[in-house]
Amino acid sequence: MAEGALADLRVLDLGVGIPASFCAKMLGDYGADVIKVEDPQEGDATRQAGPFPDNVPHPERSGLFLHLNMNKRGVALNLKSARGQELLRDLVKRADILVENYPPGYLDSLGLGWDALEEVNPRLIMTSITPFGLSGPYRDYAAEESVLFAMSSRMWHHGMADREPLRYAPGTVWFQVGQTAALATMGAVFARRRFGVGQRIDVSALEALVGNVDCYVVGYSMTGEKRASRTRQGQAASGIVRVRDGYMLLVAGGDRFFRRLLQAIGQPELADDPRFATAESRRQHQEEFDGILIPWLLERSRREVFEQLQAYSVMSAPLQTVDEVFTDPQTLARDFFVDIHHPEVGHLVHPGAPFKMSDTPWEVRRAAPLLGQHTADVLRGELGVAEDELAVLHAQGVI
Amino acid sequence: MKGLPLEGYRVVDMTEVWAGPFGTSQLGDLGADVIRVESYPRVAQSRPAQARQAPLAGQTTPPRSLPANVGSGGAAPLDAPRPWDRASGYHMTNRNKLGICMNVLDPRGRELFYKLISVSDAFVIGYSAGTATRMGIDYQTLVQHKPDLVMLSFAAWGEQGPYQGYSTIGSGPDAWSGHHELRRYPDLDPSSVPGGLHVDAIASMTIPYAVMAALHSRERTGRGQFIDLSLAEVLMNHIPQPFLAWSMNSELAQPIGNVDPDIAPTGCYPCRDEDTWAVIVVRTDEQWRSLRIGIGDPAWADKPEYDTVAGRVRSRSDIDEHLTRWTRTMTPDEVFAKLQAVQVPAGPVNHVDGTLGDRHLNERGFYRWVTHPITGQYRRPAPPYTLTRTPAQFWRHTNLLGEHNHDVLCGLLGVSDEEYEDLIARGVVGNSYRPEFAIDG
Repeated sequence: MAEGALADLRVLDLGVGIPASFCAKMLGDYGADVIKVEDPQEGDATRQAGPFPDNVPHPERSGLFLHLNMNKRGVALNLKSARGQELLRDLVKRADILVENYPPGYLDSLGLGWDALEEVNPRLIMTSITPFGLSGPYRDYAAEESVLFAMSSRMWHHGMADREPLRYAPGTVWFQVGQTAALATMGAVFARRRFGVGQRIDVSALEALVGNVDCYVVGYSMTGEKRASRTRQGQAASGIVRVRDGYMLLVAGGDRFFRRLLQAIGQPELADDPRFATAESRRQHQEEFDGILIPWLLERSRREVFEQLQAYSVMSAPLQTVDEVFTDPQTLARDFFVDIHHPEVGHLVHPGAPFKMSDTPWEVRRAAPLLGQHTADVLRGELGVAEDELAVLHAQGVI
Repeated sequence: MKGLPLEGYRVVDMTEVWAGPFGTSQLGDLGADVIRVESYPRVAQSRPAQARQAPLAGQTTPPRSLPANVGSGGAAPLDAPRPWDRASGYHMTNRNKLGICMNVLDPRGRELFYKLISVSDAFVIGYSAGTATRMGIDYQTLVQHKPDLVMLSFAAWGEQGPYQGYSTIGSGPDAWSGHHELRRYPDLDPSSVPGGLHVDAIASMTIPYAVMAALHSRERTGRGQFIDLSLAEVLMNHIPQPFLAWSMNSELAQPIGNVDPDIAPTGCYPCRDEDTWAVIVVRTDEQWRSLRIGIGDPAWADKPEYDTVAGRVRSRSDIDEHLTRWTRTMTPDEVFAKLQAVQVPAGPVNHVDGTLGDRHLNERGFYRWVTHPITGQYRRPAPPYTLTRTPAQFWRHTNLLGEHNHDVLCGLLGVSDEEYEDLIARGVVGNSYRPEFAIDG
């Protein structure tokens, strides 16, 4: 196999938290040379986030940090110091892409804003991820992922009618935003190839949510109709159903899939039963159909139900907990998880490639960096900083 | 359209419903010439239920039942002409594309498809694993027509593996990967939350990213490649912490709902009117002090034990009870305004009208009016990011069914007008559906 698809790209990751770090990880895992720049004192905030081995917090042992920063080299640089700023500008000269998610205006206050960096490197792509974007009345508002999720209208639809709206699993908003930023960054890479220009990318987390498929703005704008709030579809043979050892997702409300379901449960003759002829009649006679379906389900395990339904191409999936995913036959056959050795935590199994490319690998070239692990290598080797200056910079807390 | 990053690249799109169509729309946003190939004469999933049910004008075929898969969403008026061009779900996911409607299973249709591939750079297909092979349009076959083709195939569990051919929608990987279990109400079983389509949203960002990574590589190496994308694996990349907690400590992450156990107060609070809510998150002691000011410095909050995170977490239920009394006197927008004024993270749980009317998004020019030949004007969100120097544009309206049959087949692929008429006469190509071919989900 050749080198990664993005092996010719050099990326500076100034990410603090998930979104910019995940954006840079997507670039790095597919080959880009990523340098993570962290504050020498604090490091990236995800170093404080778990999970930790034995639940003992330690900045070099955060599972989240180790995962988000694999394949990156680590440089610790105090961007509040004049020399640190100068060194960052030197790094920018040699970079194609800079990804950051500081609050709007923060890097400008350090003399490291877009205008300053573009002057240093006119071909630079600077991807800035913020909660609400770089302009507009909420620009400086305080945000958390659940706030953004709520404002996007996605939360409204998630949950039960007589309960509070519910968010998704923690972090999912930021990962989505990070992936959106990675897509935008690749767009700018193509723009640069075609037109020879670098550019600033403004990724508003709120817009990344609202601008996706599940906010129904288009439907509302076209029809004036709002989707019902947190109510069930009320379809027979669809939804989360109980089986002997847990739950299954079943999607068999439509005529074609319903007929397949009848075959799968050994009752094909019910297709001719007028009570079950249409979705509407099935809705009216749902209890009667449940009386047939539920005992069949409760006699069988998720695995048995899944295999039986899939044998008839009925849309379905077992509801699993994450531990079960590790040993699922599909996971094993696809060799999804990867074992990475890190000096502080030893071997740790991580989720692997989100997609597999036949000609250019997704691969783990190195574990996540210790704080400042590659500072000397990068500054000396690539910026030509002399050995004695490195000692001074270290003593001054610049690196 | 001029001045967009992917000008000059041609992408063939053969996908349904959400993740694939919206993913390839992203490539169109960036300037690629995306040609969507829709199935004919059988009605595809993406032209939603109501469209499929609707009889053609002058006919009286009764509406058929709704399919279970309403993921594509959006109703089309049943009595209007060309209902399949009106369904909002289709508009939501498709823009900046040309559309042809052709039976690729017909030998002539397949030959034309090969010809289309031979002049294209990338092909995205989103059918169940193994389907492309059965259709004769798998990677090994297509590279004979276009040696440096980039082909991306996505399926719920990926192209390879024992679940090849298994059938589901986005909520399948959501259940299978553990995400469903992690997003249920902590005090209720998993049936408390509906099947989730989050994976469609994130895959729609990952699919075009993957295609661009491969095209980028091709610029350097001259080689195309095949991309095997599993929706489940994309989703697992977005929830690494629970997997790491298991692999580190054999500890099973539990659903936490809206409450982060390490901080307080935090959650979704009921507001004045029925079924209105606001989210509030107080992470730091400074935010707690700000919150007190924002809610009018009430006496109940003036307790030393509330001044630290640990103390607030211990008193979570007392604080929530008091805070709820306050939020119940407010609208969500009032909570938002009062707390953001003191820099406390808070926001309304918007319904879609609140999001569409949001003043910040409107001031940023995020919603754009677009005009469609059948449905007229409506607003749609801009692309989910802004390239400041080469901003994406809506340069092609949502494609009508078969709208560009002639342009693509005759203009691009060199089919003669006589041959084109014959393809239509023989039902290989069309631009409207006949009810006898309608299927349900």
